[in-house]
Amino acid sequence: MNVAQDLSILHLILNASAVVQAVMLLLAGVSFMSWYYIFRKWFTVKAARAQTEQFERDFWSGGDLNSLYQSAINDRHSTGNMERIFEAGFREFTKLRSQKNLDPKDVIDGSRRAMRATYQREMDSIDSHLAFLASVGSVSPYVGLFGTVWGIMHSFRGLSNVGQATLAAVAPGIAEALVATAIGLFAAIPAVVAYNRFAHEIDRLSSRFESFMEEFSNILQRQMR
Amino acid sequence: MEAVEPIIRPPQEDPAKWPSLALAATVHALLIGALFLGVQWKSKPPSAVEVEVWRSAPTPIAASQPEPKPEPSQPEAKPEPRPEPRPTPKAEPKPPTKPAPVAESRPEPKPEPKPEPKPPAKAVPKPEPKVEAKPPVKPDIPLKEPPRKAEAKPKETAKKEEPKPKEALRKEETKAKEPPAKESTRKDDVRKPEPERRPDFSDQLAREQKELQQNKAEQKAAQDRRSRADAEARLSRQLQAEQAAAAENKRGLAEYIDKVRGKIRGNISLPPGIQGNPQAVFEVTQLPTGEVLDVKVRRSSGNPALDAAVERAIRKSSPLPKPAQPELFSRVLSIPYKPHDD
Repeated sequence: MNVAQDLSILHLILNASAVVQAVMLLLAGVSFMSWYYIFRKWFTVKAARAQTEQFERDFWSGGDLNSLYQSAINDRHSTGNMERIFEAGFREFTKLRSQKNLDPKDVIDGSRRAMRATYQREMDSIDSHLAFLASVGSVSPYVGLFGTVWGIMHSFRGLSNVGQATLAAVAPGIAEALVATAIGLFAAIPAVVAYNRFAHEIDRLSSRFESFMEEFSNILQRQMR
Repeated sequence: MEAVEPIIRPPQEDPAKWPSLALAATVHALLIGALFLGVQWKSKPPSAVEVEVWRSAPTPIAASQPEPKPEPSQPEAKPEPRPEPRPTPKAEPKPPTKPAPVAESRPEPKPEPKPEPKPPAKAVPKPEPKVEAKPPVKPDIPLKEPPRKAEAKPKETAKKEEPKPKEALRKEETKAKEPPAKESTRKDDVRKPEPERRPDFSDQLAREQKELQQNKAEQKAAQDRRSRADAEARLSRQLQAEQAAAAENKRGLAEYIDKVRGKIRGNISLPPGIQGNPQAVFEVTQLPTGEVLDVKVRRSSGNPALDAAVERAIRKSSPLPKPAQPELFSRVLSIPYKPHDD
């Protein structure tokens, strides 16, 4: 029974050497942060997709652009990324069209630049913290491995003092060292999966935004005549 | 110029912040719970294994309790070869003590007659040293004749120097003749105890073999127990292996003696007319290959035909069986032989 208590996870963590404990603490923090960002991104991407679909439905339903613009200005807090891109482009378009001496091509170009700027900001907002997930996914196994190697080094150094090499002498050290790898893998695997999934989702969103920008430019160009 | 309109930015505060924090916390709580439960479940089977190890640890101690037994029995077993030479020295020392009084008794009558007829001290000291010097020699030479000769010599010298006191000499002769007869009877006595002593030795052997068998049984039991033991029992295993080797040495010696005796016994053809169960001791010089170089009769059985038959048998079984352990080989073997085993 003592042995079973010795191998409990809490005992292993508390008995680990300082370096391994630091590694485990770091990995625990990283894991928590990565899970936090996973959920946050999940909510964000889900909301962005829903709002984009909603706006595309509204936009292509053939409604008036001015009324769409007004509604976007009025409830800015509930607008989606695509709605904000539309708002920026339409605002620039109306501003430039009011200036009589401008070439229609310049008006469309200005409007596109404004939409692109907003698009970049939106993408930056959506993309944020994805790099963190990528780093966690790629680095935390190595950090955990470092903790494990350190712990095994430690336990083997202790083994040399024992003289009689038994599995029981090495087992706790290796077990507590392997806890570090376990935590590292626990942080890394969801981070990698989430990063790949979110990167794909965001790619799809960005291509949707870009195609919307092109189509909206065409609509604005038709309105110039 | 126109006033710059505010840039359209995505909302800075994330509505998903707190739910995602809570979800991350729950995920980690779930993970820690799974780890606790999972690791405890996994650690129970190993704990059972380790309990076996702990259980096995006392068994080596229990098995090591027989350890001291073989060790004291080793000194018992080592004497085994010794008893064989022993009978000869033990048997011999007794005659000197017995003839000694005879020798003492002899000078007593001599001085009495001698001073009376002739005072020459030359003759008197001569027989005395001879008589005194020879009796101790007698026991070493287990022959019946030499003592008589030794006694005859003083008689002769006494006869040459003192022809007159013949009667006294005759008395001496009669007295001197008697002791050799006594001696011979005593020698017979000495010879008789040997067969009696021999069974004692075989009893010892039997006892030791019983002990050996008991030790073997104990060691087998210990080995059975050991077979269950894990890596921790290795040390004790080594210890026990050493003891087993020591025990095997003893066993090997007994087996070796039995093998040699058995082979000789198989080659012997006993001559007819053996009376009783006289023991003969042979000294066999052998090569490391077991080939018999030389056979000497250490002590005759009293029956020359039997001696010759045994010697022939020993030579016939020339490559003598080799001991299981080469350390047990000895170049000179002392082989006691009796026609009938009890």
